[in-house]
Amino acid sequence: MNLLLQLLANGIVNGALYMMLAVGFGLVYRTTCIFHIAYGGIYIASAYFFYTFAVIAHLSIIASVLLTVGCSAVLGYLMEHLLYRPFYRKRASSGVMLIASLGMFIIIENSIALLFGNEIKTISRGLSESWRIGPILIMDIQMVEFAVGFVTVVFFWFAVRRLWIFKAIWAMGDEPDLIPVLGLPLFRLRDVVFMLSSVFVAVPACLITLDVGVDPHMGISYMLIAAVSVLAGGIGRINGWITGAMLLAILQSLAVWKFSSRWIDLVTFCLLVFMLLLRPHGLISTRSRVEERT
Amino acid sequence: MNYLFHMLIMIGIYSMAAYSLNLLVGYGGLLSLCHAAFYGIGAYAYALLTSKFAIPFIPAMLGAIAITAALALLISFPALRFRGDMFVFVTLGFQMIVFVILYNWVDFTGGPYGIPGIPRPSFFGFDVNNTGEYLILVAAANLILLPLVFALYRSPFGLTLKALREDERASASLGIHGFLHFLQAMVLSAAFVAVPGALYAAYVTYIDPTSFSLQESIFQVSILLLGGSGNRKGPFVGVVIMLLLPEALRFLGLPDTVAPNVREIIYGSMLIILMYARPQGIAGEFKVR
Repeated sequence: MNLLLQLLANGIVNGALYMMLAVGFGLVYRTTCIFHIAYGGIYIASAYFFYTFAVIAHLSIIASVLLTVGCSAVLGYLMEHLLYRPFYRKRASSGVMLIASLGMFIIIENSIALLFGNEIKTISRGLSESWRIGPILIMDIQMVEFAVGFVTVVFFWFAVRRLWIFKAIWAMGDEPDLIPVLGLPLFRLRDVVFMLSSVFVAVPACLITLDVGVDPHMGISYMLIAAVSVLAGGIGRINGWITGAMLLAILQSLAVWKFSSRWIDLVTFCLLVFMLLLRPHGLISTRSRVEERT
Repeated sequence: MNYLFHMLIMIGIYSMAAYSLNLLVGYGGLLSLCHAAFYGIGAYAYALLTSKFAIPFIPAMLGAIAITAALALLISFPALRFRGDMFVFVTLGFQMIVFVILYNWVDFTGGPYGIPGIPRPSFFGFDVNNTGEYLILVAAANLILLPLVFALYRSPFGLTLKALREDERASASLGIHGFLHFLQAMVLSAAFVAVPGALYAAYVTYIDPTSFSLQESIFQVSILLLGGSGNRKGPFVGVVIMLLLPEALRFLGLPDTVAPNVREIIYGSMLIILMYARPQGIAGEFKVR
């Protein structure tokens, strides 16, 4: 029983990280219809930015995180300008963009492996403190992960509800061609989307690097976690992405409890397949008119 | 000489894999990311049948084909409820599920330790031992399999698939059952790819799950995306480029530590450039949608 509680607590902490990853991925998928595989590339790039600042340049952790967030936002901006915008101007289909994004992911992953080598890089934190809440033991880094994840996502959730710009961005997801008609800057909105999404992947990337370390081939698994969360939860709504991420994290920790940690990926992809079969529009789906469904 | 034979054998194995995938991707227009899973199921079925149950070459090969086709049928039913992007994710999900099972079911598949000591093929009194003889076997398999696949491409079935690829709704109005034809295409392409899978297992005599991962699926799809799909010359161009590029880099004198990364970077750049400039690949007909 204590083990179950402990694993559930770990699951919720992971869920906070997955929520951020899912929000960054879902934002791009919902508003530009791009299946952003290069998201995994931005994940590894941010993790290595963080490693460079914290270990090679000996900056403090806070300063490194802030610098990393800045660098990732620039990377997202560049990716939109150099990769997706030319395709968008050509009116490329979603399959073409998916493959181009995959190509970009391969380029980033292997460039980083060339620069830093294939082995895992960790950041030493000295002895970490831990808190005991009833039967549960929580490390300080997990506390930080949990707090940062929840605060960021809740903040973003309110921002989406309140701010005018997100209304415009969501409208762009429904009908990009109408955005210029309304006098809104379509390409600037896309810049905002890609920079925000890169920020959302940079923060968990820093935290996970601090917690378990990073190697150049981790990106695809975090991209897949984000994608499964978004698809299982429902593409249309931010609540769906968050629910999907939490559900995925808790199911993964239950899999560890019932079987062993080796079967985590099986749970992840079974969730994806069953969700798509039983509820193709996701757990929390928006109502749509019959003619809108494809 | 052995090196040249080795390259030709790999080209032979991958050309069968690429032509079988071409049926689904090039003709059906369905971008499947679980072809390496079928390739792996074929290899594992053959390896287990020959090494655990000591079944001779030809029955084991037929068994591998049957097992792969049966599992492909099982996977096709849920996967074919989707088209477009969603089909890509569902097949990706199945690819990962198959990989996890191969990797973790230690009692049956050997897990990360793989299956060692797969016997070399021998049939009708012929023993295939060295690379030269193996090359003849792979060439013979190509000569049997490829005409079959080409006949399928040109048959009414292949043309129907092309029609479905272009417009499923319009084809349905002509009385063409999309699901049924895609189902046949998926099962057939899986059955065909079991042959190169089994030959690969017999050639290297040791298999482990890392040869059948998502990377391998992406590699096989890249062959079609680079070379082109939907006709007969595209896949061959793709196979030659994808398999000879690493060797070309080796002749350029890149050290072995950086060569794999440089190769992957070149593949990635080629994918982006081709998708921008020529979505149908170098010599293909089907434009990715």
